Amino acid sequence: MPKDEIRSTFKYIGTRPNRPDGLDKVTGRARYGADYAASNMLHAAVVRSPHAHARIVKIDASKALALKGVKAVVTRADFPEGLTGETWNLQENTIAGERALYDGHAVAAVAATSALLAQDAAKLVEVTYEVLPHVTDVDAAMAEGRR
Amino acid sequence: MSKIHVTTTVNGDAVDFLADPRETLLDCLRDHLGLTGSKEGCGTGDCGACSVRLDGVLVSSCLVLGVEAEGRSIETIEGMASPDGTLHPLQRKFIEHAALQCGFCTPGILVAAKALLEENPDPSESEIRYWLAGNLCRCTGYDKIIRAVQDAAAELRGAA
Repeated sequence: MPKDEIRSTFKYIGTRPNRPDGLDKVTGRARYGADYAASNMLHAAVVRSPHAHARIVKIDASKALALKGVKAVVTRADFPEGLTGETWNLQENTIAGERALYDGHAVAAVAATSALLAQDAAKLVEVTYEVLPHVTDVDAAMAEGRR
Repeated sequence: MSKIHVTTTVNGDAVDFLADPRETLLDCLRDHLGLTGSKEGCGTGDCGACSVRLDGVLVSSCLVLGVEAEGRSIETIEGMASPDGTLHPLQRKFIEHAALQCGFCTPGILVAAKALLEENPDPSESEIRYWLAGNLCRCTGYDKIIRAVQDAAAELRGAA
């Protein structure tokens, strides 16, 4: 008999209890973050950098905001300034500041009354980039003069 | 863009909804019908978390348009247990074998496994692994899933 099937006198150790969340998870009833909906809920879409490294010259959200049902466009300008240490690091990863630091770095986010509308509006956010040289390994990233 | 009225059958029930022509079947199931058991893991047909059956055929519902459901019959995880709440043997064996952890991939895997066992009641381990190759799981390492499917298959054949 395998050791994990040996019954002991313990109440739980040595037994094979069913996990308490099992029933909800095999029936599709378990609720994950994306499964929640609320009345008047807005949907978001993120505008991401197509460049590995670029200075963000200008973000023009006027065309996106002109669509009916688009409620807000946020950029780094809407975030706090002067953070340091790990909170700064988290913010820098959340949304690009002066520069986009990788292909896919979030530069803006749109909130709208539907997911499709938010995605349409995200495509209308005009970001002007000044493309900068990028590096592809750690040694180059740490080289003199890099930041 | 104007919406299209779609009339279809989900888990045996007649349903209808208004779909944007660009919405996927997964969006329609989740957002219009409130059936959130089918999950969006990738939205590109790689992960299998959105697996449902369309007229009996296993599909990734993120790669099917909602309007394509017109007049068809859809089967989702919500229709797998009996109406009285009795679990399908696959569901029961997944719990008994602890074949799930976070559970996000579980609905898709159960729908896919049920389709397998209806087509092949006595699959080999390799056949199960190949059939479920379109369903990614980042928690379990798959082994317990395979054992659970084998055990459920044996029970359904009356061999256990």
